[in-house]
Amino acid sequence: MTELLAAPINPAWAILLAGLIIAALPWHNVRKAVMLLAPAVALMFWLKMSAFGSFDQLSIDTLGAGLTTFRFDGLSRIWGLIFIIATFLNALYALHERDRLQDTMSVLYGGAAMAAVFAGDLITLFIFWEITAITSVFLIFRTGTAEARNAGMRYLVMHIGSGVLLLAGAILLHAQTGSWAFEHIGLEAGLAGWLILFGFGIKAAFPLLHSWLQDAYPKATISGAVVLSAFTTKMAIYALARGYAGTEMLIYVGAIMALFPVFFAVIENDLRRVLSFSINNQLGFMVVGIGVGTTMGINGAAAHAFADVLFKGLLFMSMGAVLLRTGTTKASELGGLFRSMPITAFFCLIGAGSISAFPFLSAFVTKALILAAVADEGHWIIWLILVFASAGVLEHAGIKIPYFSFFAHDSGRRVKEAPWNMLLAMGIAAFLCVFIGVNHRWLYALLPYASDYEPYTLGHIVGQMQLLLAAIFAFALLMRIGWYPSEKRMTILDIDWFWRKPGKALVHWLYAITARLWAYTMGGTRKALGNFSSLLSVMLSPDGNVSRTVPTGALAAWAVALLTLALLGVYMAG
Amino acid sequence: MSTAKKPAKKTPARKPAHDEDIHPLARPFLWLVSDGARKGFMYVVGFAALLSIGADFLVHRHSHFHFEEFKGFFAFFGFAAFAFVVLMGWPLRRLTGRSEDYYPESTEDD
Repeated sequence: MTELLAAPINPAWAILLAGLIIAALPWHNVRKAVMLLAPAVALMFWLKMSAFGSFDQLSIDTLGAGLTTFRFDGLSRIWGLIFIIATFLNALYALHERDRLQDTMSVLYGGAAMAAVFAGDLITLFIFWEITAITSVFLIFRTGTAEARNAGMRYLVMHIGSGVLLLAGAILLHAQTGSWAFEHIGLEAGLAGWLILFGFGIKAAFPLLHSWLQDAYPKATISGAVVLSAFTTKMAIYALARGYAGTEMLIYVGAIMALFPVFFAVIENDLRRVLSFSINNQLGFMVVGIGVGTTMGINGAAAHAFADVLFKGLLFMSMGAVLLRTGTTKASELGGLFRSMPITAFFCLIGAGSISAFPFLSAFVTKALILAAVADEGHWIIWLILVFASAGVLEHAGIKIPYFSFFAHDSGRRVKEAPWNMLLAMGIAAFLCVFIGVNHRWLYALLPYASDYEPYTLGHIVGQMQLLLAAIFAFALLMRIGWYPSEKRMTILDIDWFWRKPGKALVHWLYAITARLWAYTMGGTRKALGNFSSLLSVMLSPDGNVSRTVPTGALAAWAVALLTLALLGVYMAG
Repeated sequence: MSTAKKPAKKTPARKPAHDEDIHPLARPFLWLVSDGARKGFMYVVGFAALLSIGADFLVHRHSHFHFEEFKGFFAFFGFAAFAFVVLMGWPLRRLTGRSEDYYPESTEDD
């Protein structure tokens, strides 16, 4: 018995099992108790781990190899912990919500992300990679609007596709090396390496593959957006750090990611969409760290991912509270809310200060690792881009989010303060942001590699304060002279325009043509020649049919069909 | 390229801002949004920024690159970067801004 208790247990099982249990629990209070308890049990399993290693080896004959569902090492340890913390905060934040489906899906989603992080082989990774996609989409669907359903379908297409790429790459890699193990892959692996990189890249929101993030997250439910912000993208960062550390291309990809969302975030009116741009920008910093690939770079990516789950979760929580109480997160509709929601405003300011890297708050000790890694390798242009992007972070996440919701001109809205459970979740997240900022040694000890980097030098503090104060001064000055683009209600186009407008029109057109051609051939050849001219006109003017709908669901069905084919391939290979 | 077709709507104030509606914890901080504080903010932050530049003459910043050694480098770079990002918002909004109902899906299913 004692031996059994001492055996290592994958913390993810506690969360996944809890997800399955609450799916069957009709009682609100019991369900919520299980949701809060599961991360505590997972934390116990995590704390119990006294040594690194690979456990839970399964042998599946058809695959011709063993699977490792629990690998505990320097990299998975820190990701496992932050996912456990996030699962707990999410449960607390959603304590008042009576929605069994959403409860189930958010817990299973967190558990799957955790299981993916602990996966030691590509098959296990793939399975949980896909489960995160399938469970998380319900957090978008549950908003219940047509807009959310459509965005959810677009999200699902990209994420199932990401899994298909991962699996295709894994099969190729297995053919080359004879192993399913998930270790360093790199682009040396040829096509397999590229396929898996694109699979990871979709979930990490690489440039041009990013639009699902800004499209879907702002349309998720109040607690759904908080849950989403923690897992998918950070799981992808983990996978990149594991498989593509030191891939030079990632330095440039990451720099673009850190840079471009900054410009869009300035003009975006929906504050939850601003935060989605902000996720993209923060991921950029982490991707740069992975691209540099030194111990300092990987440490930086891991530390920043840890800090980001907390401060980005906190910011999403505060905007969720605003959405709950006012019904909107549009900057043009808000302002002055600190009068009625002072506690939320205070926690939001801590999140804003943390992401902006004020000294004694979390990003100050985590982003510095990435910047130092970049500088150590002499990449001065990338370094300048990241410092530039840091000023942009202060603009949209540090100032815009709290200023336009809680301060600015008074919207006259007098609402209730957020429910106590939301405040408590925000309070714990805020506390951890400060805790990491002050006790950076605690976080550094959890990083994959030993680090003696010291962020609190007088020079670093002076440099950072110069950047922040001068940028805040720029904000005050631009507001004063009226050069700051005022908040306006509008849609800001992104790369998804190409498939939501011309792409959709093309699909409609092709669908209409195919349908008519089909009907025509089925109708027989009786007047084939005589009707050739009318056929042409029918084919080329699908006027009535343009308005007919080709479901984006059909695309999802295609992706699932491809996925099934790929799965069959695995069994054939075995 | 046109900007948003619909002009921005002014939000009508929901309720008159009665003092008793204000959260007790917020009351000690109402001075933050007074006209004086709003006006003074720019000068206070500007002064603090100047102080931080001044600190460069007292504290040695460990630097990786030559250009970092320039006194007040981070202040000037931060100011310029911030202003550039904000000012680029004008042309970017002209280019990519559309009316709120540009994607006609809020009312229909795909």
